[in-house]
Amino acid sequence: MKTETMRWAKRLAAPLIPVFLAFLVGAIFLIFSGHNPLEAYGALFEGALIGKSNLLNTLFSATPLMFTGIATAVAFRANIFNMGVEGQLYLGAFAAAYVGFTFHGLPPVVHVSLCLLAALAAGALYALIPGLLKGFLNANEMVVTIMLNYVATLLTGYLASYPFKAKGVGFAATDLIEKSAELPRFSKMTQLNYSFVIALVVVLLAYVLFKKTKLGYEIDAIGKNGNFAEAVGMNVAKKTVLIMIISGMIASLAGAGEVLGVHHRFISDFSPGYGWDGLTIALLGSNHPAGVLVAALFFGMLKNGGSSMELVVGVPRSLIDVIQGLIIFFLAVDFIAKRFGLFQTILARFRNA
Amino acid sequence: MDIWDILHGALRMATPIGLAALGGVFTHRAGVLNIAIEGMMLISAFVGVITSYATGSVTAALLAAIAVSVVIGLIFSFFGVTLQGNIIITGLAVNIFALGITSFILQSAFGMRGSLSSPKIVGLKPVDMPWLGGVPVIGPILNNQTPIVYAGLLISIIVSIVLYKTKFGLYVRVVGENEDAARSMGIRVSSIKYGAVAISAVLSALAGVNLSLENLTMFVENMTSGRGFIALAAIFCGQGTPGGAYTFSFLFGLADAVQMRLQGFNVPGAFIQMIPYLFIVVILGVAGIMRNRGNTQRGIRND
Repeated sequence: MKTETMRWAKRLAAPLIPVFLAFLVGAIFLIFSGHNPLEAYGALFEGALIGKSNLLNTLFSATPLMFTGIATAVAFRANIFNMGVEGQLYLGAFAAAYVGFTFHGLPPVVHVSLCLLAALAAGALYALIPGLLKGFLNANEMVVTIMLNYVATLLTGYLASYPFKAKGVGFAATDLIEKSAELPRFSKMTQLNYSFVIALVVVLLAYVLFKKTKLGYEIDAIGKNGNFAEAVGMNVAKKTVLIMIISGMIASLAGAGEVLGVHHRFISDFSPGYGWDGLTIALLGSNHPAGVLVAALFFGMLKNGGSSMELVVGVPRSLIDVIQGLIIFFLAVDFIAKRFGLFQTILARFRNA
Repeated sequence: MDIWDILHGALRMATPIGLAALGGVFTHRAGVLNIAIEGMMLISAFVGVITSYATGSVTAALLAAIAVSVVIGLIFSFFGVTLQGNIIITGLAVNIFALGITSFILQSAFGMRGSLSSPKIVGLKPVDMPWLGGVPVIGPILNNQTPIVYAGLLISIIVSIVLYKTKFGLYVRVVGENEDAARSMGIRVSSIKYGAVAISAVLSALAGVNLSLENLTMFVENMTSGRGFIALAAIFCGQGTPGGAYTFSFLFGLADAVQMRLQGFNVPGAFIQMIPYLFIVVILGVAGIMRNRGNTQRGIRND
């Protein structure tokens, strides 16, 4: 009983301490730049949490982060550093938009589903490249995925600027998607839309994947010790490809959600780094679906509150990025403590056997 | 001649990648996967610009950039080596922090968003050496480059000497190959790793200053745009040797130079801009195939 409480306390403390420390160091930066940290943080939380529309907008800001967080977590659990979520997101977004403006007269449910399927296919195909390179050729997946991010932004940027550019629009964007392809908003007072529900479903599915399926178990096994997993007969190369594909598919939904639910068209360079945020969120949530959900909501809060902090007290929004970097610093240390613990339990098991 | 122009450009584009890669060779050989290169470059580029802006002195800018980069390196080592944090995640933290802090300071101290340019920023100009320009083949490539480009070439030689001919270099290699053996030999593993990271920080600082005070005389948010990771790719492809890393940096620089040269042609710019990135992916794939040759083991996974 007591150890159970301790474990929960540890689990809660693990993400809370880094967040607290990051805010503390952030406060020092604020003081140095001549701002009052209490005032700044006050404006941040007020803008994110007080009032119904602020609260709903926080959920709205959290939506893409839920997708990218889960996408990253799936790969991280297998110790695969998929930093290509950003690129996979862009291709998913474009594919969804393409289907959205190409087909006409479809019933909404069918049209939206088709858009999502197109996004999933695009994300899967794009993640296949680093998956194959990592799985079979052991090319460093971080470098490959980051390089492919640039390719994805350039490619979709080109598509939105030339062949599919909307007429009479002053920026690089495609035509608006059909009404039948739009994910409706919940109310007029917020941009929160049904992609939030899809994100919740993805979180739930990730939970089922990790807790109830063989693949989930295999992902964890590869993450803990790839060579051991190989030695006991798992085809790690094939699984690596599969994990990468799943990760890419979830990432693509983040893009599709933004297109179908928010912009209603593909806009070149529309993502303010959702894929990168996903890395922080996955780490903060210890790659656990519930943890990722909480971390995504937390970051949704920071993003949403960050804008009003900038407006109200004039503190640059980039403070959120500073805090994000600091959180990862402090998380990195905890992270290893946990891994070390795991390593020792495995050793102890071997000794007992 | 066009070809000389392209090669001249290739050397220029290769320099930031090459310097970062040469520094990364030390961390790579010491068994530290240093993805923080990207962040150290970005912060150095920024510090270089603001110091040059404030003092008008390039020397001061260079020294300040190196100092700040080394401090970042120390923090990276403290979290990653002393506290034994996950080194990839610590590096990620440096990179995200670098992005955030540079734009935070840009906005709160200079009231600028996106970039900082001013006539007050003093940059480093290309050096014209007529005697060098007259030398066939290497003359047109080497002449009229900026000082850090020359420094980069010199450093590639120094790095080889330090890595293969000095005690420190030997220790770095031993630590990377077998940490336990190194420890049992009485080598202070952590100190060696700190040293490797510090060297990497200094060279990343040069790379950053090359970007912001030589290639341009301004700072642009996220102006490193993945060059730190390209440097990592160069290290992997060059199998961790200084010569190999610099050679691949040059190849990547060449892809970049070709890309810039092709921009006048009737091919969409985006596809041309993709060349360097795709080239790196292909090279990493080819390097993987070469490694796997004759290896019949299924699903190789060595980290």
